[in-house]
Amino acid sequence: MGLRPITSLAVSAVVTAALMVGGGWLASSVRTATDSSPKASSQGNRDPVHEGLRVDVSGVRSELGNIVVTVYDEAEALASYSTESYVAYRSQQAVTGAMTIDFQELTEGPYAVTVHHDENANWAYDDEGWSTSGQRGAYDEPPFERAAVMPGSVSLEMFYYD
Amino acid sequence: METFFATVSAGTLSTLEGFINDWVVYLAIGIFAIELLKYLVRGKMSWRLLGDSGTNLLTQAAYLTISYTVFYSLYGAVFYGAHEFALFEIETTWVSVIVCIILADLTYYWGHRFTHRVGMAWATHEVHHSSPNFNMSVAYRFGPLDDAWAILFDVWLVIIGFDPLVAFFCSLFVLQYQTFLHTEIVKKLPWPIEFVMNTPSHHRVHHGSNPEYLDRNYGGMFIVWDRLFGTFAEERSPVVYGLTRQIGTVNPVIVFLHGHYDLLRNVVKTPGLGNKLRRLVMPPGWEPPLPSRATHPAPSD
Repeated sequence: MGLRPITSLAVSAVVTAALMVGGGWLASSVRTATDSSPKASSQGNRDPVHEGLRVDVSGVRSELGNIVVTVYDEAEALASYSTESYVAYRSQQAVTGAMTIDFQELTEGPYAVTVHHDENANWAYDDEGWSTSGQRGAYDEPPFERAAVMPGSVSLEMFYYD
Repeated sequence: METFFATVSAGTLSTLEGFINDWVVYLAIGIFAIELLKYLVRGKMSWRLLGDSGTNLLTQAAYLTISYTVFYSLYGAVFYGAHEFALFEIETTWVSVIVCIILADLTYYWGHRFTHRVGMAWATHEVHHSSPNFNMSVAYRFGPLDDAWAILFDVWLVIIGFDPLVAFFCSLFVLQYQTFLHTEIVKKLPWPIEFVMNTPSHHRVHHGSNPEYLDRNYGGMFIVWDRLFGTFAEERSPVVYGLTRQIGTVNPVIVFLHGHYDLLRNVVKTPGLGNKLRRLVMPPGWEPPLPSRATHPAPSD
């Protein structure tokens, strides 16, 4: 119509890149409705007897090594699986099948919970068993908003990568 | 309203994809039946036309065979590999799916323009343009490597941060929409639709070999990209469908492979390595410059 089309390829490329990045930014600013209110509280699974956070781990494939649970309260620490800026940390001898790890001191939230099965007990993050709260599949790395849980109980299923 | 912001699972998306896939085919068969009836009534029906339509479906079968054996796994590998470098963390909601469809159409525009203007990509895409007819069956006329070039452009959706499955769904959706553009039974739609969306009228122009219609209307779902980037043409004079030099055959093997065969032959007969390579990237119709004379005539002053 009245507008003149862009004929320069360079300008077109810049406009296209801007539209792509702008669209991506817009889409990333949309947060899922359920994730804006942390899961544990919205599902009403707060345990009246137990104080704090209870972590139920399932799918542990062997009793080798340790099950290491790390709890984060900030997005950046979760994203890097920080070994320094966590709020709580427990290591227990692995038990095949299901395990429960209690964090009675964790009463605030929201928290993101990660579990690592250190099968060879070398205290290193190798590609063994992993799980994060809110994780949807083996290769999903949930952002903090989705991983976030409130005190109560949270269930995590292990994924193994080797 | 809240459903638009709720998480969409991979299962929901693939169920929807299957549903759309099926209905596109059912509708296309229905429209094709109407088109055949119209050819009959107008006295335009011929064995040649039926043969061309049959060939269109055979190229689709060959294309799908290649897609399933090679390109779908390549899509998977490239998309999941590229997802590691995602620029944004994008949750899968209906809102992000809609945004992704719009951006998938933008990447489609550039991918499509690329396949028209770069010789080695045109070799596969010219198969789609080599029918002298225009009906639903032409929508299924594909070349052997159409997917290979599409990956290069679709992958940007994943790099931006859309989930690989969402990016794949949206790229496919943009293609599925275009099935219905390949018809002469729809003349012009109301102007707001013609202004924003790609329509049968705009796409007839795209398939025209008339000089004023060449390299026009690359858009998939939306025609606004062509209006924005200066490649738009309105359908005015009657369209002559096909290539500027028609292939003149309905033999499915020749139809499916003629683009690559011609490219290869042209590369072989082009003198000089530089010109051979240039042949691969220059637009269709490009010819190497004539060898320059050793000495220029001296200025006569």
